[in-house]
Amino acid sequence: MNLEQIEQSVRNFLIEDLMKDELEGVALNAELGLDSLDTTELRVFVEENFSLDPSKLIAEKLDTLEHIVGQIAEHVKG
Amino acid sequence: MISSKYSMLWDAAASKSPISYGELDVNLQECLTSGDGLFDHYGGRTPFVFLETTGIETLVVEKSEHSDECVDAYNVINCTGGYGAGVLGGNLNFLSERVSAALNTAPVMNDEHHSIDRLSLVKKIKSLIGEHTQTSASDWDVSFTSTGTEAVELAMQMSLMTDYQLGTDTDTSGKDVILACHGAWHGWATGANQLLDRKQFTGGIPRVAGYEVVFMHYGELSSLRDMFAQYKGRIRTVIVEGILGDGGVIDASEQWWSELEQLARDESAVLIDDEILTGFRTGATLALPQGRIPDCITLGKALGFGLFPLSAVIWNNKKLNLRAGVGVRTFNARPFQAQIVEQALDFIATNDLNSNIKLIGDALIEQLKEVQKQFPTIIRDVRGRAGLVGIELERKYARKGRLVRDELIRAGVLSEVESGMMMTSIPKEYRIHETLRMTPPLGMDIQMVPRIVQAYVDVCKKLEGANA
Repeated sequence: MNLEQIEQSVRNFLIEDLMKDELEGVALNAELGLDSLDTTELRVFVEENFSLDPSKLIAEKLDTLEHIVGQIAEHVKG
Repeated sequence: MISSKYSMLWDAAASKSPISYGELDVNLQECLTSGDGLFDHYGGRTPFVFLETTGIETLVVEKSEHSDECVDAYNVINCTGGYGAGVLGGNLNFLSERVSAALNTAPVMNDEHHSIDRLSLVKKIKSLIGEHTQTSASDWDVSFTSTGTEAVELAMQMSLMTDYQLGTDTDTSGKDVILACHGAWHGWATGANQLLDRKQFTGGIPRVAGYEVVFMHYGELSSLRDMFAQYKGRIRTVIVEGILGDGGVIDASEQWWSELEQLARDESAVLIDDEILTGFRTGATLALPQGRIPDCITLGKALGFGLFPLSAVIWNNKKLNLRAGVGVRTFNARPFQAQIVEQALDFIATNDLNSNIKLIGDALIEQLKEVQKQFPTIIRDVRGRAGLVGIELERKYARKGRLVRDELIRAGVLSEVESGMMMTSIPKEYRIHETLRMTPPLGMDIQMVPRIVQAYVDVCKKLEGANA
C-alpha cells in the first residue's frame, strides 16, 4: 500500500466512520482536533486495517493527517 | 416566586436576565470558576452548577458566555434523575418524615442477623418479580448489593460457579462462552467490564482467562439465532439488558425475548436479565415482557430512589444457588434502607405511577417524533418506552451529544448522553449515533410535556440557525 492509498483510507475513516464532515478535503498539515474517543477509534482502525500494533503509534503525532499517514507508512514499510 | 436563599437566581432564571458574578457567595463563585473539586472522570465536565430543586424543576447556573462578570441562571426540568436513579423526582418529599423516623429507630446491622424491615422488603420484591414473570414469589431468592456493578458481578459469579467444584478446583460444565450484546453497559469493575465491547471502556482492563465473551446485536433475531448456532454447546451465560441503554435506548420485541429464553433453556445456559437501568422505569417492574422467565435479574439505580446506592440480585432458585460465603457485603439493605425503599415502592403502587409514566412516555415520544420530522438533519430517531426515552442525533451531531445536551439545559431540560454504538468493529447498518436519554420521574405532571418538547424545538432551531 502506497502513501496515497494510506492517506485515502484514513480520509475515508475520518469522514465515514468518525463522521467528521468538517474534515472533508482537510489539508495534510491541518490540525484534526480529534478527541480521546476519536483517537481510540483511530487506533482500532489502524490495528484492523493495517495490522499495526496501535501501541506503536505516538499519541502526540495523531494530530494531523500527515503525521498519522506517516506513522502508518513507517510501520507498513517495516 | 419561590422562597429560597437562591430566590434572586430563580427570578433571574424566570426573567432570563444575567446576574452579576460579584453578588454570589464565595462557594458558588468557586464552583463556577474551578468546579466542585471532584476529579474530572469525563475529560470535560460541564460548566453548570446545580443549586436547588423544587418539585421537578432545578435551578442551574453557569458563567455567562458573553461576560466573565455575569452569570446565567436556568430553571431546568430534570429529566434524568442522575443516571436514572431519582425515579420519584419531587415526589420524594413524601418520604421526609419517614426518613427521619427510620433514622431514629432502624438498627445498624449486617445481614448475618435478621430484620423485620428487610423481610418485608424481600417479600415485596419477590412478589413484584413473581407477578411480572407470572411465577410464584417463592421461586425467587434475593440478595442485596450496593451498586449496579456489584449486582452484575454477583450475578456473573453465581452463573460461573454453578458447576464449579470447590474441593477439586474444577469446572465440570465444559462451557466457556459468555454471550453479551454489542453496546451494552453492565458496569465498570473488572468482572462486569468483561461484558463490554467498546474499547474506550475496556482498554487497559485485562480479559479474564478461560472464558470467551462474544457479542450479538441486541433485539436482532438473526444475530440471536446465529450466535446460539455458532457457539452451540459452549454457551454458559447470556446477559442482556431489559432495554439496551447506553448503546442508544434500543427496545427488543416480544418474539426476541421469547426465542432468547427458549434458546438459553435448550442450551442450559444461565439467562441474566440486567434491569439496573430499566427496572421500575418502563411502566412496570421490569422492561422484560411480562411472563418471560430469566434465571437471574439484577436491579439497581431506581431501587435506591436516588437516595443511596442499592442494588439487588434476584435468581430463580430452581436453576441457581448462591454458595455459602459468596455475596457477603458490608451494605446489604440495611434496615434503614429497607424501610425507605419499601415505602417508596408502595408509593409507586398506591399512586399508580406506572400508568402515569406510560402516558408521559407515549406523549413525549409521539411529540418528539414530530420534532424529528421538523428537524431531520438534527434528530435521527426517537424511541423508547415509558420513562426511558431516547433521541438519537443525526450524523452532524453524531458525536456532539454533549453540545446538544448543554444547549438543552440552557433551554430548560436536563437530558443525558448515551454513547450509542459507533465502533468501527460494528457493521455500518448497526451503528447507533450518540443518543440523548430522558428518564423523567414516574410522577411527572403531563403538563410538563409541552415545555420539554418546546425546549427541543428551540435547541434544534438554534442549531439549525448556527449552521445556516
